[in-house]
This record gives sequence, C-alpha cells and structure tokens, in this order.
Amino acid sequence: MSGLLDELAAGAPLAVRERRTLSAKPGEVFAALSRLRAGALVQRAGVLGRGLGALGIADPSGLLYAQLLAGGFVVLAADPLREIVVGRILARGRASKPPLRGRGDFLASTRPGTAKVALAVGVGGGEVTAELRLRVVGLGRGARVLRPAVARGLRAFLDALESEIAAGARSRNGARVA
Amino acid sequence: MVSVTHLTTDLAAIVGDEHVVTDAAACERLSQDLSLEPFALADAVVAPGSADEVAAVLAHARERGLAIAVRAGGMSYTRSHVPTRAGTVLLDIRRLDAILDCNPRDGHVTVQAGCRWETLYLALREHGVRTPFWGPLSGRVATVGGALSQHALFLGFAGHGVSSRSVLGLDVVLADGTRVRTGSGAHRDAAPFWRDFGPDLTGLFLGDSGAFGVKVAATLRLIPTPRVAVGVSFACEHVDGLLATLEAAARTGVCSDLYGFDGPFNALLSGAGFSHLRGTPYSVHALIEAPAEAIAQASLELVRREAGEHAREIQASLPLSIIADPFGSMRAIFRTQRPAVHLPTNAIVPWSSAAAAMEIHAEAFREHAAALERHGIETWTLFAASPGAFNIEPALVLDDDLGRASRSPAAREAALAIRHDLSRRFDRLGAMHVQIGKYYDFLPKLLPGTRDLLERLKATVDPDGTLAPGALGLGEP
Repeated sequence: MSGLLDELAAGAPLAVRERRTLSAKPGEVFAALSRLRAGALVQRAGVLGRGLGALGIADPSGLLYAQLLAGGFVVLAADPLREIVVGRILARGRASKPPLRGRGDFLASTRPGTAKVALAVGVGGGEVTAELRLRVVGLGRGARVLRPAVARGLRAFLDALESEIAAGARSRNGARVA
Repeated sequence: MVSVTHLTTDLAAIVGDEHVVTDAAACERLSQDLSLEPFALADAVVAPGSADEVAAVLAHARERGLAIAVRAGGMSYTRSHVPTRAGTVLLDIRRLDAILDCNPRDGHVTVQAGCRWETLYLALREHGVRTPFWGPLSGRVATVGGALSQHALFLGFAGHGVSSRSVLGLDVVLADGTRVRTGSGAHRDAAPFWRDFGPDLTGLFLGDSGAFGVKVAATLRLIPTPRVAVGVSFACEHVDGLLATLEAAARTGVCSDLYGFDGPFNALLSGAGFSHLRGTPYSVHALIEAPAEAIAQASLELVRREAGEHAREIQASLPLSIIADPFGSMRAIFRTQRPAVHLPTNAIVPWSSAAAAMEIHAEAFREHAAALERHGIETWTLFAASPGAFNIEPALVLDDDLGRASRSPAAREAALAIRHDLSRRFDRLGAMHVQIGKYYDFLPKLLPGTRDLLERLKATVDPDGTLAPGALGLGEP
C-alpha cells in the first residue's frame, strides 16, 4: 500500500487488512481485478449473498468492480499500478446521505447516523493487500462482531483474485501457443 | 524475387532461427493493423535483438530489393506498419526492450524502442521518476518506439503534450545501416541530457511512421513522480458547455490529463459501472498531479472555479479508475461490451476551430445516419484537450473481426467509407492528425517547398525507398 488509505481513513475504529503473497506483475493484478466477477466471492467459504448486498452488489454475475461502483462506491484515490481506494457513505435509519463526489466529500463527512467505509486494494513487494476501514458513530462492540466477517470477506476476495490472475496467465500462455 | 527459403536462411543467419517467422498465418496476423484497411502479406517477420542486427537486416533487404516495414506493439489504426507490397520484411522490434540507462539526477532515461510503456513506468517508479508523457492507454502493449513514430497522446498530454515532446534524443538506423544519434548525445563528449543542440534532427524521426529510419532507442526526459493525484469530473448538457468546460480547464494549465466523452461513450462507461454517467450528454474529466497535497488542492479549486462555471460537478471515479490501471483500464471497459472493431478518426484543431470541428462531426453523422443504422454501426466520441489544442476522436464501432474475412462485409465497407469521409471533412478545416501512417493525407496538404524538402530528405536517408514505402505518402508506387 502507498498510504492512500491512511490519508482517507486514519484511525478508523474498524480496520482489517489481509495480505497474499503473489508473484504476479502489478498490471496482471489490476487486469484480474477488472475481470473478477462478484459471484466468485459467493463461491468462497463464508461470504454470503447478504454480505455482497451490504457492499451494494445487486448482481453477483456481474463484474465486481463495476458492481461496486454501480452500487454506490466512489473511487477516492489511486496510485498508478499500486493502489486504488473506493469508498461509500452509508446512512442508518432515516439519516440522509451526504453527496459523495470524491475524497473531499468523504473526508468532510461527519453527519450523524452515517458510516464511512473505505476499501483499498494494493500491490507491491510481491504482495497483494486488501484492506477495509469503517468509521461509524457508536460502533462500540459492533467492531468486534464485524471484524471476523470482514476478514473472511477480504480473504475470499484475495482467493478469488488469485484464481483470476492464474486464469489470466493460463489464457495468455494458451494464446502464445496458438 | 528472393525465395522464402533463401530469405529465411539469410535472415536467420543474422538474428537466429527462432526469431524469423515465415508461417503464412503468423505473417498475416502480424502484417495487419487495427484499421481493417488493406494490407499486403509480409514475406517474413524478423525480430532483431540488437541495433547491429537491425542494421544487418536493413543492409540485407536493401541488397535484395526488399522493403522493410517496422512493427512494434501493433496498435496502429492508420496502416503504419502494414506492408504495402509483396517482397516486404516486417521488422518486429519488440525484442529491443531494455532500459539502457537511467539518470534521475540529470533527468534522462535511455530505453530501447521495443520497451512497453508500462514496463518503463514501473522501472522508473523505483527511482522516483517518470517521463512527462508516460504512455498511451494501450501502454501495456504499445512500445516507446511505436508511440514516438505516431506522436501518440494520452497520459500526460494536457500537461506535457504528445509523446514526442518528452524526447531528448534518438538512436536511429538508416536504410543503409548508418547509425545516427540525435540530441546532445550526438556530441562526442556530451551526455544525452539536452535536445536542442543545433538543428533538431530528433524531430525528423518523430511522427515519421518509420519513413526516415528505424528507431532503436530513445532518450526521454524525466520528472519526479508526482506525489499526489486528484481527479475532478463534470457533466455538460450541451456541446457549448463541453467545449467551454474543456477549454477553461485546459487554460488553467494545471491539468495533467483532460478529456471528455459524448453521450454514446458515456452510455458505454455507464455499462462498465460508471452509472453516474448514464444519460449524460457530455462528460469532462481531469486529472491533476502535484508534488504536494496543498498544491493539488489549490489546483483542483482553480479547475472547479474556472471550468465549473459551464458544467455540473459529478463524482470523479472515472479519471481515478483510469489512473489506477492506466494501461489496462480502457481495455477493461471495452471488454464489458460485445466484441467489436473500433475505427477512430483523429483530428486536432486550435481552440478557435473547436466549435467548427464539433459541427463537422455532428453534420457528418447526421448525413450518414441512415447508413450507420442500416449496418448497425455505433459511434462513440472521445475528446482530449491541452492548453493549445482540442482533439476530437470519433470512433465507428461495428460487429466484425480483424482480418481479411469479414463477418459483415457490407458494414465493413460502409464503415471504412464513412471513416474516410470524416477525415476528409476534418482535413478541410485544417485539422492535424497524430498517427499519420499510410492513412491520412499528408504530402498533398503541404506547401510545395515543405513537400519538396521532405521528399529530398527521404531520398537522402533512404534512396532506394526501402523503409516503410507509403508511410507519410512517401515512396508510394
């Protein structure tokens, strides 16, 4: 990670990071990220359709990245071929959501009854990292409840990404032979 | 004519057996480009591994009366590398992919012409530097040499101009095997840190579509890698708003990348997840890079103040998505649609002619509306801006495959005719084109003295017309 997430969500009460050692080039990782289908996470242990719904993903057969954006996530920051951070502001109950056009709105948002979630994927040093941070008023014990589920979700994401990278490599090798 | 067997043996003696291809299917795949325009089949494809091997292949071709076409990443839409006649050897420079020297302190890197932009970017990042123009969006495939032959534009265009503006010098092999170095590197005792040493010989070989020599290496300027990148996007209801927003943002002088899309392109992007662009007639997107957060924020506010007068600010997911995976994101977006062939036409005009260019664009598509509909051809338009110029790039999108066999010959024929018509219309406005290749009119548009000088230069550096016959309209039968 290049520190973009720290600038956007430093000190978030819920911060969960999962790492995976992968020998893929950064371009291969980002290409796999763009090809990854939301349903690939459903197939992994512990990630339920309900979890995808919480991320705003309506169509598990669709591309994960496109589904996240269509579901309300906004790209907050990017470091070329190193890190991308998407974020969303969630509203609880009758609270209204503030506008979210980018990092300025995300940082400025302090409206009661809302939660800010930032999700980052980073590549570097032979590792791919996925990290989620959540800041919500009155989270309290909720953080302890959420942490294992979030960790499981991030691990499922990395599993799916690793499979997609391998599929991409097989496809390239196949094309080369042909 | 040289027999294929002899040709293979001769070329293999220079570059090694494994780097010569004469298989017809492979030759056809490598001979064509992305334009669906006609091409001749190369007799052989040869991949040299050094500048000496390039010189030896050129000498061999010249002796045998063969033509040479130079292919790099193969991303040409203007027949740049395609052979125009039988008896052509296609020189594949992708083995020349090394970074030869990196000097961050003096601000230059020398890289072989077959190096891909993504490879170069990642290597330079380790040193905390980058080239000012840092690649086309196809930079995962496109090479430095290919881009420089075509004046490629995109990443860094608004802030630093087209690819050629980042060049300090070149290493070129002429048709007779002569090695030429340009820029300060041509000085017997100097490093290649400066371009402007006497007449600008570097410029002769930039945007030349390979007509004047084979680029084997380039020395590019370096800048510190920007520490902060922020994006801003706008939605515009009308073409006037689009142009005013792009021009105002360009004139701030703080944008690194500045581009926009028309409604059909926005619909495509919407389908790829950027749903905030759904139903948007025109969108504008800017990327601002800076050495420090405070500078980036001040620049962002400047763009908002100047450009925001003419448009509504929307979320900036698109420019940041593109910058996250700069050499793969657009391909990923296209992949969300059904497979299709894209035929873009590029035209660059001064800001005072931008409205006229938009009118030409609208008029052409109005007049061709029936044919477009009949053949199921869609149109998407991309705009790119810099302080000095407006770039419009409409693309015709049709259900077809690359190659000679068409799934829909009538649609292909119609698309090629409409594309030609578009370029003629833009030409009448005095538009410039990057990627001249063998497609756009070039020589006929030049003043007589300029044309004569170019033809004499070609006769000097390539007297037998060995190199890229037809490129820039030079050496056409």
